Amino acid sequence: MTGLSDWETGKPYETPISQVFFPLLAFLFLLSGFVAASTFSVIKAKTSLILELSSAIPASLSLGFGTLFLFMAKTKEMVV
Amino acid sequence: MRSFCRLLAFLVLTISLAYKTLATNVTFVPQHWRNTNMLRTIDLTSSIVRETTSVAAQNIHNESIGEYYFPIPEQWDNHLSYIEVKERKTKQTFEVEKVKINPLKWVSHSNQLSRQFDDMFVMQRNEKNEIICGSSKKFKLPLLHSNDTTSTCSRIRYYKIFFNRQLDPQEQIKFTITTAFTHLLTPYPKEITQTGRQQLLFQGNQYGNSAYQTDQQKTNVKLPSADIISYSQSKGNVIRNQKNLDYGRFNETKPNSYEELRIHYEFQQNMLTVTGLRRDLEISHWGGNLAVEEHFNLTHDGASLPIHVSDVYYRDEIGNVSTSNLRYEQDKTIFDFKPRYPLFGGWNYTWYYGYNVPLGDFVRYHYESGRYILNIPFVNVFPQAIHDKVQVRIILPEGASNVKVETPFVIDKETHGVHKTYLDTIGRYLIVLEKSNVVNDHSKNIQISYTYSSLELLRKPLSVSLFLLGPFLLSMIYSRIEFSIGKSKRKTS
Repeated sequence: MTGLSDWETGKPYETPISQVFFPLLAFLFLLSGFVAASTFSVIKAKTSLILELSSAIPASLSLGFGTLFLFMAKTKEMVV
Repeated sequence: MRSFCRLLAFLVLTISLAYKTLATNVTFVPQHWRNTNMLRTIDLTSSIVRETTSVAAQNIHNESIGEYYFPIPEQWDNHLSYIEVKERKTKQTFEVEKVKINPLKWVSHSNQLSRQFDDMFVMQRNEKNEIICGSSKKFKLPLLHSNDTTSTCSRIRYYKIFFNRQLDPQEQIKFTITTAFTHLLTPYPKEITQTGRQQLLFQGNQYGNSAYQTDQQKTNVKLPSADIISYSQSKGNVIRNQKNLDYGRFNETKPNSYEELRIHYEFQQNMLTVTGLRRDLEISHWGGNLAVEEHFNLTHDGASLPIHVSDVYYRDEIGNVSTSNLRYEQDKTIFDFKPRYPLFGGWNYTWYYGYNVPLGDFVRYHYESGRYILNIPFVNVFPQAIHDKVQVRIILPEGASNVKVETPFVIDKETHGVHKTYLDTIGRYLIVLEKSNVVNDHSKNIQISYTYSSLELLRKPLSVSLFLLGPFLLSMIYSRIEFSIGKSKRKTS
């Protein structure tokens, strides 16, 4: 079908997570990320690779998502 | 004797040339139609010449046909920006196609004859060195097919209109042809003082463009002001009515009739021409945002933006331009902006502005095909501005594929590429659409559809996470590397 007819029957785009939650989610992810990172720093050196990775990977994941939501956050419409 | 031979050869050649041109010229168009009535309106109120022709055509052939030829003189066709044909009653748009005329193929039977032919005729050849037409150097013999005494060349370009149905013999059809031409008006005089009054010269045809016999026709010219310095007289009546000039009623006009229409009038408005426009559309799925940025080469004092607009900026090379004002109204947002300095004739101004709009207003998801479709105007053109060159760039999110572009008019050039920007790994899909000679009839919606899997949304946060994993890994490696030189005592507890 033509693009125009598809557009008319389509649903307006909505972000997967509502934009209102972005600042809150940013804060939560970054907090958990820093907690996990601090867990990593406490581990004695050379104890166990798997133990170190098990802190490093969740930490980096949380921090990664946290920074993304931080960039996307627009606090204008948030009600806090 | 030689001159007699020459004359004979010339006559033979002329007749055969005429015969050939008969097949490819005015009567190249089969006379299947007859225009019972034609009303033409030439709108000169702006710097864009808009010619609207309302035609009532009757099928005088003995078969059902659905094609109609519409001619446009070559000098005008070079300035054609927009052509649209609609049926009057149903407002149905008909397809219009430009016709390619076959060039004359001149096969010379002997070298002598062709040399003599070259002596007497100025030939025009196309790229393949075939003879298209010729105008006589010495003889002013008008050829059998046209009343045009300037040349024997067909300086007319034809457009074929396809009706949505076949019309029976003697059946009538009424339709309207809307055309817009740019850079057709010449300032006359070319230079004036800063306080002088601007005058323009318009040269056209008193008769309407028709490849068929027309029973009756009228031409109405609309002028921007009542100050008309001069206008052509006519065999028919000319009625002057303040800002309007009515030429007509002309009866029984032959196909492709021509009578010069020359109007010299005052034009006090700005001749807005945007020499270059670049419009960037950037889609962000995470942010649910469509960023629009337009780089211009002119100005206007008032443009209406979509209602949900935010973060508007207006800058030029120096920086932010403060001669601007943004105000929100009920159904639209008005952004007033003025250039830093006033513009006189021949002056330029370069600037850019941009804003953000919610993506949901322009992009929709079609469930059955699983594709996203962006529906947005090609350009937001100021009403009477002409854009010489327009470049529209659409940046789709990373991971978009199967991209299809649909436009209601022809785009000069379409290229697909890659655009890299913040937090990109493979780069974003870039579409560049280029078009010249754009007027506000082109501010119609274009559709861009693409497939974008939701998993691609994770690409960005995961790339950031991967980057942040780096320091952790680095510290893990660092702790396992020996940095001391030689043996050292260590506590082993």
